[in-house]
Amino acid sequence: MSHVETRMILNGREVVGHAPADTTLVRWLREQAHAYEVKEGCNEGTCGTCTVLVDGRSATGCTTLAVQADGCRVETSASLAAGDELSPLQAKFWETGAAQCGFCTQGMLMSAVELLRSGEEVTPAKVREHLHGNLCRCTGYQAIVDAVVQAAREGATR
Amino acid sequence: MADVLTTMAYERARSVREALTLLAEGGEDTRPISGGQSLVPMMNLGLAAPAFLVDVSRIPALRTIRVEDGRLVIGAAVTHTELTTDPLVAEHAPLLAMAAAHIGSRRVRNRGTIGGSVAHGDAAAELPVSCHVLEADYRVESLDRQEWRPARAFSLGYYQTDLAPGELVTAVRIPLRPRHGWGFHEHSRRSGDFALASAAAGVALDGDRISSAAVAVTGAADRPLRLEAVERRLTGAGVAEAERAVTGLARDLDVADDPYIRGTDRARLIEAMAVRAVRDACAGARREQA
Repeated sequence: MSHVETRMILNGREVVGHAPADTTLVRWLREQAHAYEVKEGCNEGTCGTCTVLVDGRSATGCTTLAVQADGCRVETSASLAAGDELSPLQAKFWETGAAQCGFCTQGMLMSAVELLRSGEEVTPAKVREHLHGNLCRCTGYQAIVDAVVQAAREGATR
Repeated sequence: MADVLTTMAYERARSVREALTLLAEGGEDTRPISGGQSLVPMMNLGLAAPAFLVDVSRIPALRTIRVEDGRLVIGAAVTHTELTTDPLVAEHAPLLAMAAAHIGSRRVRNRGTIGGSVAHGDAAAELPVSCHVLEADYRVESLDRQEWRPARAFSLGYYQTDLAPGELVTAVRIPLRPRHGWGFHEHSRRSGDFALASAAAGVALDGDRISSAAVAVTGAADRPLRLEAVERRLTGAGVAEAERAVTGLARDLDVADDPYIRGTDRARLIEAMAVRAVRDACAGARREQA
């Protein structure tokens, strides 16, 4: 009885896992669904590297229990590229040098996708506000802000 | 955590009745969970180890916002993001929207809930101090009773609230106060971090004079603090004198030193936040007159 069955639609594909009820979403995604693109960082909701979208809204995988996302649509950065072709947002990250070590990148991308889809006007200030709580220790953030603003200017939503 | 042997049980309640039954039957170490934005980090850090979690976040009755008998009634599982975007909140309790915008990051606001915030009782949290100013009541339910408890008597100390095992906060209600202006300001070292000091204010004007004022702060004590002396000085004062009525507040506060900041410095921050909140509230009340 200590393992709970949890189902999610992960990047469009149904995934079923069995894990203890106190398993966090980030652990579940990595260990049950092998979604290794999602990184586990601080485990207290402050670094943002485990950010995924749950039913379209950004959530921190380490402060959400997997059982709480049961039946939900979960999106990770693995949903963005079409095969080997980068999504428009990923391409901007590449062009501006918005990714260095890469540990924060998947969380940055998914927080940015939420903003791009919101229909709000994407200004540099808006990007900084929306992405605060996604920490990067390499880039100094400017390249990330540039990437998101440029992607929005071209109408990108992923 | 997944790498230690655990037997924590979890149930997702479909109704308030089911949640209350599960909470009553679960015994000690049973905790309700909604957004989990405070509880799950505490579990990860080993500061909480509930034996049984009752998930109330998807109960439809806790997800509504409506006006009822001259009050705005907000279901406990309404998220902070919803507070910042809901048109009824914007119209009837804009202070809650202002305050909720300061909570954590967007991800935390997407999942964290108003009921969770008030039940958790963090002394630095944005919504309880706002509920003091709004003179809100919390609906507390258990299997054998249901009652409204005033926000101002609900906080009992750091992470201590007037909730017994088996009880659940199911709604927050706020009296409608048209023609008021509101303000909320906080200071934290990093954006999204817990505030060292915050202030919430509400003001109504009669011409150029303040006809009623409510001000409460965090950072000064182990719970939100209503500033009754400041409110008395503000009431009847002209708008131009409002800032002076708050100035000097720091001297009246007795704030303990802690490892992060000296008490006297924190008191000055609290005063500064209160000045800004009152200034915004007066400007808001002026706009309501126009």
